[in-house]
Amino acid sequence: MLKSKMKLSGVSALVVDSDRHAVNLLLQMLRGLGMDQPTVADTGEQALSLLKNHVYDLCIFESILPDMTAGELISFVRHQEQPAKFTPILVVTAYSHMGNVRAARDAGAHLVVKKPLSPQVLFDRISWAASATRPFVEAGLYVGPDRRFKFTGPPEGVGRRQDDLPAEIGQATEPNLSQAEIDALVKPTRVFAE
Amino acid sequence: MSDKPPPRTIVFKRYMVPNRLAALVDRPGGKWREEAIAEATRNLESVRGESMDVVEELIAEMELRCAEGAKDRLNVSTEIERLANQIITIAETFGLTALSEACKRLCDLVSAGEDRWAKLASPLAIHVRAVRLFAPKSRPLDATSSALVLAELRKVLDHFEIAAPKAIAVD
Repeated sequence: MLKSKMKLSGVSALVVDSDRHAVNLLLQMLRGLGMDQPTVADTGEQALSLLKNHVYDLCIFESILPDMTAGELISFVRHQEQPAKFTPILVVTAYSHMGNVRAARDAGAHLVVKKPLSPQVLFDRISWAASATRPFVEAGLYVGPDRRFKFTGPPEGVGRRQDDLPAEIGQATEPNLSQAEIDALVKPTRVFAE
Repeated sequence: MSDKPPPRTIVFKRYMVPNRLAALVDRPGGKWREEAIAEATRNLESVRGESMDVVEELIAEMELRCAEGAKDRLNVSTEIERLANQIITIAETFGLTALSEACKRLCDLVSAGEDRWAKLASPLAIHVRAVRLFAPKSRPLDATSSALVLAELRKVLDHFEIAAPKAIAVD
């Protein structure tokens, strides 16, 4: 559920974007929403050195940086010690092609938002990142928030997790129980105490 | 013996994590959504003038790069795409829809591929001139003329069989 009120002063945020004009607009919005002074980095290298020395409460990354992609940066965060690895990460992208969105999602971003951001969208996305009780998943190379938003069963009817049940029951693999066998399973049985 | 390789075992962990951001934003004394959005909008409006100057500078740089196009086509196309994206961000923030659309057409053209560059120099120049038409300090075009210019740009892309890349809505 989205929050109708938020206190963003005192929240430490890291904004990584090489487009200084876009950063300027984003900072104007963040200050308006109540954030004091977000830290800004314009290259991936700069961001990495900041992330090594500080745990941020919120990260906002541009999907394409001059020296690396947001995916590489996210992957670095997700392989840090906790609590740094759990930091909510918003990826903003001017190029909202399927490939960019997928890459950010598969690297462990919480949300991907298309540029330009509006104050409404920014408030709601931060609010969502702050209110969602989303479990974390570690599976092979993927470390990040659970990518399943809706609990509607296994995707496309094919479960890939151990606890996924098949969408269809399918053909029986064992003979059906006879009534006598069912009765035997549920019949009260006298137990003799020793 | 079966030829099937043994199933790959992936260690899977799923667990709840503490949300530090939630704890911080829920402290007393926050801003109501409407109040925060209104202030952020006021802040944006306070930089409208300087943003329009930035757009003019970016268009001028784009024109310069386009004129240099014959020398180093690959670098120029990357630069023009970068400039166009910067303009789109500012233009859409401040509601300059026609300018943003013209820049998007330009991006479609630039992303057509370096192997086609020999044929695309003239269409590129046409698109950059169209972007100049929609610049904030150019004489404003009425809605009909704007639509006509954008439609003609689309025709140029169609002529070269350049489709807009499949984009998806993410917000």
